[in-house]
Amino acid sequence: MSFSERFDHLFFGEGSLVRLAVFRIVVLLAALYAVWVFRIGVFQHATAGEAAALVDRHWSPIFVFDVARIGPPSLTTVRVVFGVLLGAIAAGLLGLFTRVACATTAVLATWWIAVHYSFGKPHHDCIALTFALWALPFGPIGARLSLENLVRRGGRPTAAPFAKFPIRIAQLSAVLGYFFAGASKLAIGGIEWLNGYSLQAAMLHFHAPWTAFFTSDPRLCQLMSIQIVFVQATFLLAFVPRLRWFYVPMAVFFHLMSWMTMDTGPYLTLWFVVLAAFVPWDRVPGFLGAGGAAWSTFKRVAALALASWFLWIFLMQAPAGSEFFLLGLGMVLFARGIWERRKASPVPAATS
Amino acid sequence: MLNLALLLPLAATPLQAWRPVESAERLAAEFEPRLEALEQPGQVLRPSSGGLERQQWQEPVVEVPCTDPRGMGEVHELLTEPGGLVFIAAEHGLYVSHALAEATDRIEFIGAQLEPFERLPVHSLAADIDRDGRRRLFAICGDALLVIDPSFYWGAAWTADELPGEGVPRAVRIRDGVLGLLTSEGTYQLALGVHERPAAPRVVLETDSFKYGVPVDVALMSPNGWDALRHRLDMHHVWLESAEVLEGAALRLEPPRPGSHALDLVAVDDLLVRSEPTRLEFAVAYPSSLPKGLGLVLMLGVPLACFGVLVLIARRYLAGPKRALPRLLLGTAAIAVVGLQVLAGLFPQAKGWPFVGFSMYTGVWREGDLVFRESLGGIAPEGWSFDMRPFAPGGAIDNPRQVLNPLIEDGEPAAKAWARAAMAERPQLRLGGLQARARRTRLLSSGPVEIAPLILSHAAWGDELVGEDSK
Repeated sequence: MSFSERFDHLFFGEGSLVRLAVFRIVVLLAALYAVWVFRIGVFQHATAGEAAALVDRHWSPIFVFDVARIGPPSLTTVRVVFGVLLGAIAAGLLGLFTRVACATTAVLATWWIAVHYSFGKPHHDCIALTFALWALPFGPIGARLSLENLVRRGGRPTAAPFAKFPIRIAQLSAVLGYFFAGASKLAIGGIEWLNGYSLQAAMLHFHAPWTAFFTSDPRLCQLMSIQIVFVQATFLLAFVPRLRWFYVPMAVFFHLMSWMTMDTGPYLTLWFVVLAAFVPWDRVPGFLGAGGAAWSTFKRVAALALASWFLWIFLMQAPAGSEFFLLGLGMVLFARGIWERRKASPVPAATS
Repeated sequence: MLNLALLLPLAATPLQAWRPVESAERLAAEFEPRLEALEQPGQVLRPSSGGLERQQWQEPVVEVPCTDPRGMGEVHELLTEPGGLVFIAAEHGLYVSHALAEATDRIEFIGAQLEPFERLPVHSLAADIDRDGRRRLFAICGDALLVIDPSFYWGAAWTADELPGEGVPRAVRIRDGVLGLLTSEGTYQLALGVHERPAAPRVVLETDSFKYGVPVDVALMSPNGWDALRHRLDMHHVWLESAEVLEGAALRLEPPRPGSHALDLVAVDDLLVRSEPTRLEFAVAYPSSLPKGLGLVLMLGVPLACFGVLVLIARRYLAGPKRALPRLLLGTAAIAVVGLQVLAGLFPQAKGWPFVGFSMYTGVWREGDLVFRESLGGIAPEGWSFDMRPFAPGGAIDNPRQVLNPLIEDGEPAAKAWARAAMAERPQLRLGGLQARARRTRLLSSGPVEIAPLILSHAAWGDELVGEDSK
């Protein structure tokens, strides 16, 4: 297989449409979270009201804004963009005009996040999310788990070309981020970065619930430093399907630990994208159902508990009413799945 | 009480401003060493055989360790300054403690004027708040009188030949705006208000614009001269010593990153009284500056147009058999995007978001290093201080400095505005003041130890602000 054929297969070959649909939903949930959480800052800076008067509102734009001479937005602009964004995300989640909705979300969410960063400083939490959003419209994202498919009576196609493309872009962005985070520590800080004090200092800059315990001993910090740099610098291995069992949980664990020991917050805009991109969602039902009845039940209960926990983290800062929206979305998808299953099941042969 | 009547109204030089105190005998008690200090109401610090001990109300006495491996040596005097720090004049230098501190820590002086005095014995201490509301610490260190900024530990030194008389300085005191100095020869006093505020320096940029990567001269003009010039860039909270970047009357700056900047200059006299800042606003050009319209087109128009065309192509061809064009275009775009991410990783920076590097948390800390954590301190009307969260009442911030800097810059009015906004959200709050502070932790092999914070600003407004629920 030539390079171009391999490239073509990796990015544009046939991919699972169910996996892409779940990827779309999770990425849009992460976008909703980012837009909602950043709204406080964006609106505050746009209104220049009483709360804004108490903080330094220094407009320090990102490079693109600076060169394009784009200044801080007006309140009207922010209100319009916010409304359109929420509408586009909702349409994307439901699968209505999916491609247009996702393209609109990509452009406006990027602007929204960039405005927030231009009033403070850029962070790393939304990089993979941003690239995932921009890649979404190029896949057949409305082919499954969408209202437009329901209306079109599009049936249950399983795979299509270009379905891998958005997922690959998100995977690459996440992997590059982790790799450079680990490699930069070694390249800039050197091997001495692993002395324990460096990680201890990074955590002590903040005052999170578990900071005191995990910084109590530099030797404990040294062990954690080695583990963090190892996982980050070798994250490229997450492309090996078997090794994802190690790297994906480690990435989630890393962010949850950072939340508890530093001031990063849940950081779910990154690890939701990691989960969305690396978990083969189309194979999850088969995986959960495999094995004996007890083992299968255990896996289902564990998966449900894990999903509930992650959703709880999401709902902690998500827009009010998200739980009802998600519940409704889940019920629609569930009902549609049952209906399709019944429709697809063979009619029992008549006995004579 | 020190005798104010003997003071001359104004003096041209600090040396002439000192006046001998003729009836010094009755002041002798004033200069007795103070060997007990209040860290907060009910919490006392005093010398012990091993260094210092702390007692809170009637609780058992506990030893307070010291992070200095040499120890403090003999403790000569303790002083609680207005910001709540407890300074310890000791044989091995100047040390500091605080109600929050788990250990005392030796102060490392900042700047060429004070650094020679580090680790010299400190004999006596006094502190006040100047007419601009800034705290000051006076210390007899060796044969010199040091005037120290207790927020950042830079300052001025009055050496033996700048002090009155021929004797060795022994102790220093402040009462009602008068500084008293006890020497081996006699007692002298200096009214701290006699110095005129230094005239503001003026800066003249000797070129039209800064060019990225090329140092630029800034001519300085001072109408009356100054004792020390300090500068800062972009509202940074630390005023840097300008002597290191001065070449004659020119300030030689390495241009900062491209974009808009503000350079502030301030003249500081030998009692740390500051002139009003002089601001120079300038822009450092990007390597290739683009006209407004062209920049907008190139940075936003072209990528958005490409994105739109790609989406249209995807919509038109993805479902059909003709997929060569979208593959070609998407493949090129994907390689470009991934390539830019790799480039950003190799050459870390943040402003190119979403193409950014990952150089965060790459700094190396070693045993003995300090970690700083900015915090907002509330002062209860009874004198207790406590950490306040969240930082921004009713709003959002990305960095605690966005709240702390206005408090540092604008003093009491900003602090009161913040307090009123906080009370609207937390009606049970009662405040007698606010502090912007940086809590500090020293990294030791036995584990991290919290030491006294930096009190970056201190606004205690005397009266009490109370929330609705506390009225």
